[in-house]
Amino acid sequence: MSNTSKFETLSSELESRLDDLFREDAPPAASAAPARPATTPDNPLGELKKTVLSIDWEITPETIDSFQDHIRLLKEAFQRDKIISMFLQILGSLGQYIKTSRNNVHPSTFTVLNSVFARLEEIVTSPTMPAPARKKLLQAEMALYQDLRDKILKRRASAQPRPAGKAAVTAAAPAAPAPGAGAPPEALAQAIEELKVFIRSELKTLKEELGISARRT
Amino acid sequence: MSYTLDQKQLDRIEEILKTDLIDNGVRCVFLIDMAGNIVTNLDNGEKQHDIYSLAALAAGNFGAVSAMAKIIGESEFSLLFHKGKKENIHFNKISSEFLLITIFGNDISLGFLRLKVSESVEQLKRILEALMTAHA
Amino acid sequence: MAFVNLKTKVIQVKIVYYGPGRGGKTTNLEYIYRKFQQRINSEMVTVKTHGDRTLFFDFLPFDIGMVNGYNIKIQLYTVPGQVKYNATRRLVLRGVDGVVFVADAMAVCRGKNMQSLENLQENLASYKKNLNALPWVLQYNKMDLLEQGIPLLPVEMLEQDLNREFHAPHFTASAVKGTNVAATLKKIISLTIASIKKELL
Repeated sequence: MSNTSKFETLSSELESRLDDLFREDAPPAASAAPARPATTPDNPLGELKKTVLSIDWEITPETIDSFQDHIRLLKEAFQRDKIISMFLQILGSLGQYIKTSRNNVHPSTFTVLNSVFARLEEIVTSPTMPAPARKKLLQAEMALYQDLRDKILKRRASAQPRPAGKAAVTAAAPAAPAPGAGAPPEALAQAIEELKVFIRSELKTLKEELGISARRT
Repeated sequence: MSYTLDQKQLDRIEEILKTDLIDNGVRCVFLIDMAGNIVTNLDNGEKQHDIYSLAALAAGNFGAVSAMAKIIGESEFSLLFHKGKKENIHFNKISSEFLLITIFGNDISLGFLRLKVSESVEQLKRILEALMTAHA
Repeated sequence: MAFVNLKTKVIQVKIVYYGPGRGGKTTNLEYIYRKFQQRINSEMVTVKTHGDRTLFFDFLPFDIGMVNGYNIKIQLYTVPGQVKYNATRRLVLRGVDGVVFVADAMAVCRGKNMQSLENLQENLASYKKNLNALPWVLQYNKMDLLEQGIPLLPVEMLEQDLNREFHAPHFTASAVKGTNVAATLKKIISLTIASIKKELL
């Protein structure tokens, strides 16, 4: 059969099909396929990772509480490992800061949180990592953490010119208080104080244990 | 249905968007109605987009996604967010009439953005709901 | 372009109803959906504004059934007609295989019809398509308004305005009453399938 006549057959078949369709009953249609649940691999930080990812997507009291719960559990599990304990301590402080600051949390907090967690995960999943490498990772994250703390203090100083403990406050032009709901200044000041105390004590411990004399600014 | 916003209301809306979002690192924010009309828009001065097309497409996109939600038995989705390599877009319904669209880079986490957006939305709702009631 | 799955022997064809705002595109689909729902057994999806104007698209998919060993699935879309939704219209036109241009026969809409046709050509051009090479039909809608005494454009004028260089098939219609709605649809489906005959033979 030539193409032309093949096509004519097709056309007439189509025409009568269309006539039928728009006149008589036609065959019914499709169905859907079910989904399969995902499974997560076993990993000491697996549950904590979930909470970190949750926080990245949504900050709620539940996600923060879950995060802090997992930190507590991991602190117990890794209490003999000083480096890991310190990572967990930093994460714990960040969690506490986020919880108390709520809407006034500094945007860079989450970058630091994700970075600290990523380095911790690297260390935990590389049990053969030599001690100097681990220390180096910790130092880098502590630097980030201190950097964040400085940013928070600076921001607080320019928003509300009030002395916060021993921190020097730059003289700022009188500024209107930040609009919108947020944690009261006292809670924020307290969170920052806690951070400062923690950093001082941990740096001291770090210096003693690792024999480092230089202080990072 | 029609609505009119006076200068004072628009100023107040822009102030909220600037303080909560632009000042916290959001690149661009626009408040639109569900038909894709722009109520107001702000950006951080870095990049200019074709916001009229963006608004029409955003409204269409939101509408299409809402239709998808209903097909799968949800009344609506609580998160509509598109992640790019450098820029991301987040949609938030303010009321049955208005949408808040934010464009932000990777220096802000989604969680943080959602936190700030929900704060803004609470304030915007008060202004916009009063407006819709007045014109109902 | 028509999507042909040689393995499952399924062909999907996209037909878009285009035209000025409030011209009757959605009404066409609604009529088809209402009248033939049991036969075509599909759900219609609409993305509308609160004012009942198409915001994104209306969508009505259905199977024609087996033709020459292929299962042909037709996907009908409408576009939002209002001028401001041009970006959306362009998006919906992507991959179009056939067009029904629904012109509003009311005299006051003469300019809008021509503007909309020009807009269609521009948007098609962005996909390197044009009306000379694409299956399309014209529908001159709202003929029912004649009996209400509303001034309508004569068919000759509509043809002159919109169809003089194309000589595409045209139908006078009343989407709200259903007059020639099915005929328009049958014609565009025939033309579109004819244009992809190579895939079917």
